[in-house]
Amino acid sequence: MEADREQQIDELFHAALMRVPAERAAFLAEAGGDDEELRREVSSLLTAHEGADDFMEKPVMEAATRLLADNQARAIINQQIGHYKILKLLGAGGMGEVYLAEDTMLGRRVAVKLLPAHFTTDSERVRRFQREARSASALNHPNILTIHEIGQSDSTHFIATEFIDGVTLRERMNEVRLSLSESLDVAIQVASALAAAHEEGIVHRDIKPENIMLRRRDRIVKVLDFGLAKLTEQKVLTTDHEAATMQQLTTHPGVVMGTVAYMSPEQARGKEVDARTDIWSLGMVLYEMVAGRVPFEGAAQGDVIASILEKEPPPLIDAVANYPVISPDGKQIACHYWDEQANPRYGVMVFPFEGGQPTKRLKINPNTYGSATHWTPDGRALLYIDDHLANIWSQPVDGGKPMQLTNLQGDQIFRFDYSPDGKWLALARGRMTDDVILIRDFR
Amino acid sequence: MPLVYDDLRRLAHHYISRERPGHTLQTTALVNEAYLRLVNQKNVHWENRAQFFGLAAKLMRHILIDHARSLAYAKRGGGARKVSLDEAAILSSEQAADLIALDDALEKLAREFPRKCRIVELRYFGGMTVEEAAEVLQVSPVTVMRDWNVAKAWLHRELSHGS
Repeated sequence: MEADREQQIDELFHAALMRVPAERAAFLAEAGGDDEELRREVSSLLTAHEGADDFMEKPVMEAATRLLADNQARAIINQQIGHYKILKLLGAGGMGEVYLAEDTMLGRRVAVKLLPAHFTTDSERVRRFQREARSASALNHPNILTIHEIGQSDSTHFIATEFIDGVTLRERMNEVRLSLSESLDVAIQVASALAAAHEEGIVHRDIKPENIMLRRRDRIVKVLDFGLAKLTEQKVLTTDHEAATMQQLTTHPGVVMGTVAYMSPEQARGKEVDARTDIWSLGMVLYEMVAGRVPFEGAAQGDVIASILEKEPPPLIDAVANYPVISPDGKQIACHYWDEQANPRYGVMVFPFEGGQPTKRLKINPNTYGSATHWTPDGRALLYIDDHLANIWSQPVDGGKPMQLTNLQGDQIFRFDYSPDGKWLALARGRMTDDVILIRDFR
Repeated sequence: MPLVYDDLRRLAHHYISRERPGHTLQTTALVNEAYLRLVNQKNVHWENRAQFFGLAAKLMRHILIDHARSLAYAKRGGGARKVSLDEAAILSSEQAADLIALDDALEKLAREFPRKCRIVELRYFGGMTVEEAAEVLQVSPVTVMRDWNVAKAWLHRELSHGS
């Protein structure tokens, strides 16, 4: 159809659309002129338009994408790579997909990571990778993921490692707010892994929550991807608009942004790294576990790097939110504290509204630092969330034993409030939830 | 085309496996990322993003319709191809039939109004916004909207009176 015709139809159609439906027929008769075919065409189009409310409103791209993804997985499932039979996809990272597989010779489950094709077309990179993998596989430590084999099947390079049934530290941090004891436990195990590797002269280079796994059954930590970080060397500082575009779309963890936050100053400068780089990165991870955020943030890669190079990390005590609360009679304030010089060193302190020295220091478990505290309406006790973030407790301000008020299982509590008449407790459970639970106080 | 397909395939997989329940898939982010990765490869030359997006949308359409047709074929008893549980979840046989009809109608539309057909491809199969489609086709967003309105009406009419 000629462009003119198309344009005529378009114009007439839209002009008619501007009129209320009842007037359209009349308008068409007038504006369509002698061209009856045109009038009829536009008229039937208008009728169709009026009946097409949600026709094609939702793009089908999601279905198409699922198909694409499905095709990829199905291509590999039940195939054999080397003597490993691929069973199912476990996850995907910057360096390829990880599958659960069965070692057909030994009859045990393993994890097989397939390296993406475009990483291995560079033979120099492949050689470097093999050298690194060889030295990393010499490491034998309970907190370092054991490498069973590296190999090649057709043009696919793979790494077979022990299979860990668990979650990454990143996934865990997305689910819950880690308690202090758990954070320390994880950090100690990672440090132990690093000590072993550093003794052999191996530096990890990419310590971050995505590379730390927690085994489900015993909470043993496994550090992943030792010696493999070099394979994914990316330019850090870019000024072209493509990099800017990349930053917009990294809402998924572990892609680009995450890596930069854990970089040591020497890494950021592109200098030689050694064991100290890993220690720095571990420090970042520990900070994030405790504070709930990384010390160096920024809107773009460049900003984060500038922070790392120029700034000091904000003191933990400031990074973790502390909620001071005023007593109902307006005379006192209570808030969490952590003071090396005080006795007890951590807890909740109560001090006069006008200021001055704390009148009371109540020892409350440090794991609750940063979570909310509330006064009871009679001003005689403080309510707080317990060690495991599971229940609400009451601590009399004048001393005396704390008392458990709720008896809940399941999701953790992050926020709560107490009604002025003292009868109701409202809780928000889970990290990202719209649900509020109301409990009648059964004291 | 095969190169694009491989990368898109791998990325889609990547995105799906990271998906969290309740989060909608950001499929334009997927295509964005595919483009960036391809651009970073030395042996592929993409004159512009627009060309790439246009191609990706076409690909999506092709994959979906292909799948729909093979589902319909299998249902009629043709061929021994088994439909896995996952596949079945992607398109119901009703949806498949609808898509096939739409595809046929689109072919017809392409013969009369080629640009309108492209817009449907970009928006409906490619999930693009009006602005994105405008950039790909190098027309104004208003033109895209107007074309979209007419195209929708045209297709709806075609499908309602369909054989």
